[in-house]
Amino acid sequence: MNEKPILQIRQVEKRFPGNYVLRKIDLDVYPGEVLGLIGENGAGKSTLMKIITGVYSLDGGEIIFEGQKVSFQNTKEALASGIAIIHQEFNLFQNLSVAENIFLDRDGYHDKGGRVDWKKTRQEARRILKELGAEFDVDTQVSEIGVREQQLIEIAKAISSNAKVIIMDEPSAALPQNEVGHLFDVIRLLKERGCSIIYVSHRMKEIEEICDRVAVLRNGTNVGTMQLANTNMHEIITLMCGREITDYYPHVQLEPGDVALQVEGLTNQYVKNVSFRVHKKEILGIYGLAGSGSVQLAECIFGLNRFREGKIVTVKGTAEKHTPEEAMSLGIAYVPPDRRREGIIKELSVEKNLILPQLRRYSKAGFLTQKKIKSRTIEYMKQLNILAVNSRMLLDNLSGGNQQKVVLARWLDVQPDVLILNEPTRGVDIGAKVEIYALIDKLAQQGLSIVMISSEIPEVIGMCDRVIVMNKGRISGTFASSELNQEVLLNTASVAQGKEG
Amino acid sequence: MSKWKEWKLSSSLKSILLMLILILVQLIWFSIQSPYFLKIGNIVNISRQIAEIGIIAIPTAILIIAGSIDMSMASTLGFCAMAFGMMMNGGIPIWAAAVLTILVGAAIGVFNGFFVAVLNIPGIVSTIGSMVLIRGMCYIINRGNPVNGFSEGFIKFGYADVLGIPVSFLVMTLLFAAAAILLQRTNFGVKVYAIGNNEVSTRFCGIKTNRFMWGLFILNGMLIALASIFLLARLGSAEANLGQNYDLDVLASVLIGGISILGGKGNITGAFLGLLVIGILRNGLNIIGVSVLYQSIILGVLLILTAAKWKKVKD
Repeated sequence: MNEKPILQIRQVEKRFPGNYVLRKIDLDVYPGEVLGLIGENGAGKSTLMKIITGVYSLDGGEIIFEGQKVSFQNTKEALASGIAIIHQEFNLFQNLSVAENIFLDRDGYHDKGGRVDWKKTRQEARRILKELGAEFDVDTQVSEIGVREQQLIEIAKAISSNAKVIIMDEPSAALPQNEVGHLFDVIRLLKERGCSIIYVSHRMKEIEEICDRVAVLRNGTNVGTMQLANTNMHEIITLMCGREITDYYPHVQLEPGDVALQVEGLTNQYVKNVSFRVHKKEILGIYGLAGSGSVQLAECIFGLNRFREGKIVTVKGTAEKHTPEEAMSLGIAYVPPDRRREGIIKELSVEKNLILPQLRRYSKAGFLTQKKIKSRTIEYMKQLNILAVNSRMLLDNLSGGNQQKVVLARWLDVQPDVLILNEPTRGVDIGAKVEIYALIDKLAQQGLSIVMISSEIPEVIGMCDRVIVMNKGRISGTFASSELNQEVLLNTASVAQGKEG
Repeated sequence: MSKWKEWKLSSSLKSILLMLILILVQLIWFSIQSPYFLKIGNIVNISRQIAEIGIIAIPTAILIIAGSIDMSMASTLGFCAMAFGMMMNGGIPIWAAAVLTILVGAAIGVFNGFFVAVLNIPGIVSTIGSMVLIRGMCYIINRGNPVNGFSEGFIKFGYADVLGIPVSFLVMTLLFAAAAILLQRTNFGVKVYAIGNNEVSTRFCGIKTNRFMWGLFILNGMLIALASIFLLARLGSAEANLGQNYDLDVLASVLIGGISILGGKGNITGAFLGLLVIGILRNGLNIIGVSVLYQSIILGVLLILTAAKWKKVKD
């Protein structure tokens, strides 16, 4: 590239008490490019982004933006100068309108007394959203619109303040798979306008599709920046992990055993007449787009959601009370999709996170059996390769992948017959992902039945023996692994259904 | 290899050290200001004054760690004391009246817990309602008249001691020790912290969080009732506005003690030290003759300073 970089990061260093998080990072961003930024959890991606946007100060090196050395005090200052960041979780006010969210607290849109210039606010909001191809009204309340639209508002916020560099942190994480394409259209549009994008993501497929160049961080150093055209994914992943990953999906289909879980005619407000069986040693996938009812189905089976009609039967009996406690006694365990909200308890130790569903087993007369708890926890830490200083370490101090392994360990320790995994690798880096896949395969070999709910197509195709596709609360198709491909899944998941909607 | 985030230094240890220093500074300062301050008589006095606050601070701390709160504690204290006094005046033997009073406290706990556990209303909202409601009942049950004229034996009980240590203080200390063990070493403790931290995750682990919270409110009511028995024995009379401002001292002890108002963080040892800080401060200021009005200001400043600890971390 002959152009001069718009953003230059020179020898940037950051220390947190005790250790280096970033060591002498160099990185250039050129106008109008999409630069992918990848690295495992804890590699320093978010720290670097926070330094660029002024959330953290730097301990060494400098940042040069448009030829001038900058050091922002906060994200607002960064935005005013032309660097915007869009977080994974949006910073929107749910009870304000679209227009209000875009221009909130922006100079030029209110007078000195704080009175808002409504006409200008609405007009500008309308103009920008139209450019982005959005179809919703600027007076709509944010709580009433979908995730993709909310993301557009975040992007509109950025371009309305003339951002020249937009950092997108895991922008597809919140989106249903079928809407990622729309996001890419918007990114291409931004590129045409000369805007540079730093695209931070775990998802290699997306990096491959949208990025011009990719920078790889490992352990706080930039181990390589390359043109995507001159490399391949395998090379990038090897660079990122520091080792070669040969086999993503180690799963080998086994001869299925007896039926372990039988679901019949399950019906409530979200799922309609769902029936299926899972056998021992089988990995059953459930694939559906957002709103397909797959999450609610899992919650029904685990007793977290009520159902009006239907039956859930396992080897150990039939569900009657529909509580998680009963589901556990029937041999069912459930790993929920939203790790931070539904899985971990971040201010509790690894030990206590592990024993939570089985407090009775781990206590005598109400008193915790400390030794037993500790030795069992250490056992799992070894078995699942959980990286923690010790078993008393708080979950908050573990990386995402390790947190997920703790949640897995928790449910394995229940010794279930049927393990329901809902998005088991969401937000987990590739290294940990592969470890989790290997673990799932091992569990199936040991005779467990696994129900894997996932919206990641490669994972579904790579891991499952059989896949149920859900659409609007109903099963819209069942496929053996040999019949599977991306097209089949997407089509079955999004076909319009009969008259009922 | 992926790395974990920076390992935080134990903030609870820091806050305990800070409180110990604060207590020491107070002891030195007040003993310089007044020769009476460090006399045995006054120390016994302090221990008697903080006993009831301490007994209420225990369930308050537990409720706050579990992510809820009972704003009606002062009204409940007053109501239980009045009910207890009226029962005794009605001829019920002291021990039976005491048991019944604790049941009254439990009943108030059932009432308060219902809104939180069954109707899912945040404790801070529903118990402000019951705070007003129960205070109203304090005025109604004896038509606004004070309850007094108890037997001499009962008043003696109010000043009973073992080896010079007031019984109420002993009971409080034992309860604090029990609560510390309960929170650190039992199932109960794991549940309290888990719910306060992340109610959803806890529920997803098959724990009946609502039922548990209800139980905590009942325990809370019973311990407040116990405090009311000691309070009445000490004062010898209960008026309809009895207990007002006790909530301030209880909350101050708990919050200064490093328990997060947001739930999930803090420990009972901190609450105990917080109680000492508040108790010594109140007593010392009284002895050197600072008016109650100024005491409020000093207490308020202290609370705001502790609150600064919980300021939102920039992230």
